[in-house]
Amino acid sequence: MNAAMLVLLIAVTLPLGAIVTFMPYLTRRTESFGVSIEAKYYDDPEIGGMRRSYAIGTGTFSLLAVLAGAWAAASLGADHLGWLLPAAVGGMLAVHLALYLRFHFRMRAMKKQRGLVSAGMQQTVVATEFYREKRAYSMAWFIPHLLVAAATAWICIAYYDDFPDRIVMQYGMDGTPTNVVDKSPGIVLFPVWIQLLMIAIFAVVNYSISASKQQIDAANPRNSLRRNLIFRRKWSAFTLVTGFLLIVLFGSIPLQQLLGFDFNVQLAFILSIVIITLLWAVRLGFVTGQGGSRIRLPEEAPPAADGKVNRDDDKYWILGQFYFNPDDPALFLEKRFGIGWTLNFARPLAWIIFLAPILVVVLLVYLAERG
Amino acid sequence: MLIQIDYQSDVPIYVQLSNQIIEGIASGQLQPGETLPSVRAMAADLGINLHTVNKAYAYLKQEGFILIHRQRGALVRPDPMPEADEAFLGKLETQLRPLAAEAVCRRMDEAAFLEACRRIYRQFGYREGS
Repeated sequence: MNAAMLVLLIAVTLPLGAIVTFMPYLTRRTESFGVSIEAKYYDDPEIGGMRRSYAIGTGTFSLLAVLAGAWAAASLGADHLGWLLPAAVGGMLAVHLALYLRFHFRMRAMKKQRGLVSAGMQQTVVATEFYREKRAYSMAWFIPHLLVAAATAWICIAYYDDFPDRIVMQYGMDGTPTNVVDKSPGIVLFPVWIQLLMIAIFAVVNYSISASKQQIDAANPRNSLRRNLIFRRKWSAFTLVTGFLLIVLFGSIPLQQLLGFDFNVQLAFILSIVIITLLWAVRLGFVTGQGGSRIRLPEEAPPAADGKVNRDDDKYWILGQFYFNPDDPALFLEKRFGIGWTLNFARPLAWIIFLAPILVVVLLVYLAERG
Repeated sequence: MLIQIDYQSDVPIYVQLSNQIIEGIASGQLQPGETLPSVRAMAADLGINLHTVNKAYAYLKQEGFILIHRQRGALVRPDPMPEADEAFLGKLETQLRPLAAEAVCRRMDEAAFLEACRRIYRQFGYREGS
């Protein structure tokens, strides 16, 4: 079983390491380590040097974390994955964050000295037709997810008597049960609760992809608008498809309990879904870049010749990571250092959206532990 | 159409916004009956207070350029604007007066002043041979 553990560890840490290492190359060209710059400074030797130093530092550590994790997974017993994987991932993210902060403050100091966004040319561009364009796939694509959840619920209820009297809630990587509770309708239906929670989360994500405010590059409005729409649709498709795979994965749990098929089959299934999701995410990250900035268009409209640049909104970004702007009614907007979307934390609803899934997960785990 | 808001400009944001929507209607970039982003969406996209966008939309509605529907949100007036009347002529002259005065002070000749007016007018008006 060590082999599966090794595969899982590498499958998670390697793509994650690649994404955090190359992050400064995936952001929009108008940001550098969470600081607004004009796109023309993106290729500045000093700023390019910072990206390189960050990538070498994060990359070296990530590689060490993967190797150390793999070595530990191979030599320690299989029951160690429970802390090994979080430790490797946590270590990677900690180094990523430390290096990010270091270069974020360096960028801020450099901007104080050199400006980097000309004061007189700042502009925000808005396309009036934006909300008539297709930005994400329809919520109707969640019907298959709901049907799978309904089928899972039906199996749990119709074959309730056939389930074993004691239900395994958690397995070690070696296939030995580590948490077993007495059968009850709530416990048998546990995978369905998880499915519903995940469908709710994916629906919010898909909605946020469609509702997130338009962020068009003032220096190149038409092209950045087209790139952004492609970017949103690709990530919407990713959310819908990988979401579906996860729902199916949880649907397989009652089947496994009912039919008692081989644990290895279940494990291979979990591994392949994790691998598909992560590889797809990494690939999309490199193809699209943040906001679609890396997408190549078949034919480009000429950029605006008026020398306008995006508005410098550094003052609304705490540490370049958390957007806090009470004047802005937007709830969702693009992250600055990363790929995807974040929330305007000046809005109370943002905190609810941020905390609700965590609370529900804690509640579900608590209920499951109690049996 | 693309709306471009300058933050360093002396012109207030709500005036920039309403002026550009009127220009869009004049040039045909905004078609009669075309929907505009809601006040909330427009404010979010510009990263500004709802109140500022409200002010621009309220002005455009009052002047008859747009309609505000309860369900459909803001949309460009579907039927043609009423023709220029005495009231409009009065407004036009009031707003042109200080500019003409400044042109005279700066010794700009009449032909050059009229030429500038004509050039701007034709940017919008000549699209449909009107």
